[in-house]
Amino acid sequence: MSLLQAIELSKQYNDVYALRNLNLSINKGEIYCLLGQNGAGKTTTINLMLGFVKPSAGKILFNNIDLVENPSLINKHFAYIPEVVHLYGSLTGIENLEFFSKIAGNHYAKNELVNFLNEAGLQESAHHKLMTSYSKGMRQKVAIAIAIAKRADCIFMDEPTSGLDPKATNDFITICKKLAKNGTTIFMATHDIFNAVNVANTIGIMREGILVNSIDSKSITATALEKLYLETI
Amino acid sequence: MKIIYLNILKRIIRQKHLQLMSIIIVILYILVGINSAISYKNKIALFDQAKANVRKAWLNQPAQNPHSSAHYGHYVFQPVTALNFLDNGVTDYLGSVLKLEGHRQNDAAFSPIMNNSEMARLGEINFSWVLQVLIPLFIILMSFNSISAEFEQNNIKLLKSQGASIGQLLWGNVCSILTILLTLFLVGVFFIFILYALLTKQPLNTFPFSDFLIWISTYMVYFFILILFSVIISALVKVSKLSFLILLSFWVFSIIILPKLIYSTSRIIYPYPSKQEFTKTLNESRKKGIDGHDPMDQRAKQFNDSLLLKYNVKSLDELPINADGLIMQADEDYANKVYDKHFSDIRTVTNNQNQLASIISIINPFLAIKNISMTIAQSDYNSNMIFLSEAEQYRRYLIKELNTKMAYGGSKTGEWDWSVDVSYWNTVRDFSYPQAPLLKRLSYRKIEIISLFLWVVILIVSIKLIARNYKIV
Repeated sequence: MSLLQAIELSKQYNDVYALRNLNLSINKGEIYCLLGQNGAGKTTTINLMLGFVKPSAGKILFNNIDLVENPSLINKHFAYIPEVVHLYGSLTGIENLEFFSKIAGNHYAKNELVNFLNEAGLQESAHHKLMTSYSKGMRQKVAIAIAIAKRADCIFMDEPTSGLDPKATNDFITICKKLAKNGTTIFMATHDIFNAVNVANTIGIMREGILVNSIDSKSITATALEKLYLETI
Repeated sequence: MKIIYLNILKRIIRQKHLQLMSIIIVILYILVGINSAISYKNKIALFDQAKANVRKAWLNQPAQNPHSSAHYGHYVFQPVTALNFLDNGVTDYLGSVLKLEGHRQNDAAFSPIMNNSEMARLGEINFSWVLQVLIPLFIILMSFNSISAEFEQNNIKLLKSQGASIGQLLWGNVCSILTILLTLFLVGVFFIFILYALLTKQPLNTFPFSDFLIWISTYMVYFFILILFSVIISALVKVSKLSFLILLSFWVFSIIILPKLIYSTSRIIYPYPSKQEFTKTLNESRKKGIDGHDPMDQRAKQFNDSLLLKYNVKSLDELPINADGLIMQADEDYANKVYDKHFSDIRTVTNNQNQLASIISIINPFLAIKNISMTIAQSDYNSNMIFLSEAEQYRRYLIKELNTKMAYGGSKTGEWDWSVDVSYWNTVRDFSYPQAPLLKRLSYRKIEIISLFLWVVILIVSIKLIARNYKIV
């Protein structure tokens, strides 16, 4: 059974469609990567799934429950990692994690918070440093720790590898795979074709608000995907 | 909301520029507190000494004609209230010393501004100035990016996805900024009060604690309004630079431009007559009355004739009383009517000008707090008007007392060298008047109070509406 489904999902701003009749289905523990140019509708899809905007038409189902009618499920089961993670520079990594976890209703002991940060791959020496001293990759890891600490069923990531160096990207991909292996579903909007092939189970390609291709990553190489992507957009 | 509130509080406290600004404010409190305390102490000492000297000079007058005393003049002083220490309002501009004498009404004289250089135009720094002008800047610095930064740093979606509502975010910011501000404010108030108690050595049992508490509460409301306003602007604009620019423009407009604009406009809408025109009209009206010092004056003659008829005698020498005293009082009574009419016209113009400023305070909380603060501290225009009115009542009492003594004290008409016993001077009471209770004083500030109330209500409703309809994308 699908964990997450979009059925004829559309979002219209005045006369312009940002997303048109999206249909997709994602299973538990699956990593779904959505490719497309800027303005193709990737972020709109994430915004709709997370309830930041309301759909003009269609449905979003989580475990067959309509999320538009039950928005409280979104906060409970979904987590979000933005493209650029800033969090709060005047707080340390562990303080940021503690704060965002508390907002989600989770009050963890210090050692639990440390474990989450470790799980996200943030070295322990950085836990108590102010976020202003963090690199982009380190901030990304705190955001992952926040998602882990939330024990979210589904994590939405908006271009998470954008601006990361190869090592940080590799770390990130490893963590994503680990999370998926543990049953977390990941929905990722990205421009990174090679990592999409590397990490995803399913890859979607969007153009002008329409999902034009949906590919099993096992059936395609990075080069072939790049070719298909360039032909599609 | 508690989690968000505590988090914002922690973040604000850690900001270096705000730490620096807080230190500057505390230093300002110290400087202003010491300056106000010394200035207040000197003013009290000077006024007490001057009052004592004036009374002593009055009591030590030699045996002389009471009318000579009427021309000698008598100084009265507007009481310096304890809260003048916090807000000296317009006292320095309007003056708080008045010379009382027969036949004429005087404006307040010897305002401290008269004895100062042109730097005095910049005004004296006091605690209320820091609260009204500088603290709003501090509020802007703390809150201009309160919500906009959440957008710029991509935190808003993260917060929302974690379950935080926009309402929690808005109120969390309002409450945390308010907490820091009130802490700084109350520390300042406590510090200023300690300085007042230690440096001025005024007895605390006469300190108007209830007025003081109302004064503190009014400023709390003022800060609350400014914080709500700043957070709302930050939320609506969503761009920190623009939010800062809008709030700074609001500060400049409200605190610098609008008050000056109202002052200029009110003088155009409600102009004063020129000094020359006023004096001419006053003198013309005055000439229509009795000249108490000119026996050949036609109206004085008529008054004398009426006295002869009343006492059934043929000449003024035969009167059992001194007609000079009565005729001078009649002159005084007429002059009072003339002055009442003409000065009342002038005061109506001033009241209209002030009323305009009150009405504008509906859109400008700075004007509202400024007026309310001065009123509570009794350093506003109305308090000065009460002093002038009481001083004029006292002048009339004094002159009437002296003229009556001259008329019925045992002298005969024309005996200008007749004198009263020195013990007489003590029977004339000294100048004093009861202070108007706070509620009565505040009744002059209904518009300003309504203004603050409306600002609070409108801003709270706005926050609720924003929280309900806010779009984060």
